[in-house]
Amino acid sequence: MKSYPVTSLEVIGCSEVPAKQPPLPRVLSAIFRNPDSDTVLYPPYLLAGNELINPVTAEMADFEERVALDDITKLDPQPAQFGWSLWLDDSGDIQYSPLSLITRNLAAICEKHVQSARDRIAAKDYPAAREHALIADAAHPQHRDRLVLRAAAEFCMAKRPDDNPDARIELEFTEALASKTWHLDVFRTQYQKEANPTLPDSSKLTDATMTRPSTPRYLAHWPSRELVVT
Amino acid sequence: MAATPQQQQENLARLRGNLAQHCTQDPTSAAAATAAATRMPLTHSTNDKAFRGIIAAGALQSNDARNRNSRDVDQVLGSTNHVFLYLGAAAFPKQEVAFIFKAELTVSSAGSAVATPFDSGGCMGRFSLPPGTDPVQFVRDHELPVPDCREYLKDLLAKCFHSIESYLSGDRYYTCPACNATLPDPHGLGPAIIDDHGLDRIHEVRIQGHVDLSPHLCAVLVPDGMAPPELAKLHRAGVRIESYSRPAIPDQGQIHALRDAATDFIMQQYLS
Repeated sequence: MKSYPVTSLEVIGCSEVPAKQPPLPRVLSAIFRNPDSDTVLYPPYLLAGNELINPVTAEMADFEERVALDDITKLDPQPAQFGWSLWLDDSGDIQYSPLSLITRNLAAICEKHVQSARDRIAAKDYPAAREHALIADAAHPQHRDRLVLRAAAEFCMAKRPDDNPDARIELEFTEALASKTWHLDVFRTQYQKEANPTLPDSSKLTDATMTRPSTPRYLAHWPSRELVVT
Repeated sequence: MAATPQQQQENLARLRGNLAQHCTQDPTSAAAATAAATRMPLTHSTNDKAFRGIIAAGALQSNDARNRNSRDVDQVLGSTNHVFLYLGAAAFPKQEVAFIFKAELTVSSAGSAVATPFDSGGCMGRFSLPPGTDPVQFVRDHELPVPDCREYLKDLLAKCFHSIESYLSGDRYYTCPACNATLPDPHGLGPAIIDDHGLDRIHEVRIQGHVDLSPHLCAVLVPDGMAPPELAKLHRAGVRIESYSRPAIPDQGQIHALRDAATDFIMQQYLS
């Protein structure tokens, strides 16, 4: 088992080339350089305290080749820090920050885009609303409202099929995603309320009533009832 | 150039003939191995950016088909016009998304596909080959016809893996299913210097040109938070879209998260 002290290394790249449209904020895997041997240390590896354990090692030439093939992302070299990580922000920029800060930033990004999604729905800019909901989903996949807002935007687009003829199919898909954690009727009530705030208030629903009973991961079923867009 | 069809058949016969039985075979495990080898789906794993390209194109495409330069490894092996899949779970490290295809894909791609009982690229510097072996020739000597390669997979599952799941999840060693003894690599590969995620023990299938998502795609595994609306049409067409959780700590277990999800899915859907 080979291990390296993280603080003796440099961060020189990221093991993927994140898609920029839309940027999906998340934690990314760093590629390190060991200055002592001028070798590259790729993921997968284990991080245990300040130790980087069992990375895949390669020559710098391999790193440059993969950068040229757009297989990985080259970053300006910087000293590696204990407890830090690479992450993608909502502008599509890669940053290197302490993990605690990343967690806070991703949560804040999620909240910001949840609010932006609501604002865009109010402004009847539904494609933009859905884009904000997607970013919120990526930043914090456990956030309660991210799929509600995505579905609300698609629900509105489905009512105006000229804008997006696929919206009905996409709404059906979003319902399928939500069905793992929501009762479908409750989910529909929630997203229709977001789409049309004049509907009766359903805010008295509690988290307990909104969460499906736990189902085995691969036994979760897709909604079987027909989707009705009114 | 890949081995000719005749060479592939000869390789298959030789490898099957060389596979020794360590202990008396349990008929139950032999039957399970046959069923698993017959039903085993194929998996292609990729990252966020390539994933979107695949959805847009409606197909997995080789580097040549995408007019994309290939790595030296693929140029040396003559695989620049190949799409790479594993017969089994999503084993390739550091990927985020897996496309799982029905077993029928190996039938429909017969004549334009070739298999090896390990990751072919790993022979170019990562695996410990027998001393004095030319890596390209080593790959050629182990290229098998598709879909007949499933016969060899059946033999390996029956004789060299203590369970189907250990093949899918990438257990570190070949083991006797009867006595659980560690077995030498049947292809002469030496012990890995580091755990290479079982890439030297998973069957690779390379298909020329492209692989259309329809009609054989049966599932897409995506991390939580990465299910774009573009997947809706696949979902409507009956493709399962399954999400899995990324590890909370970056990198630690990242490869295993996708592979574990693929292993669970395959075991539940195909092999239970």
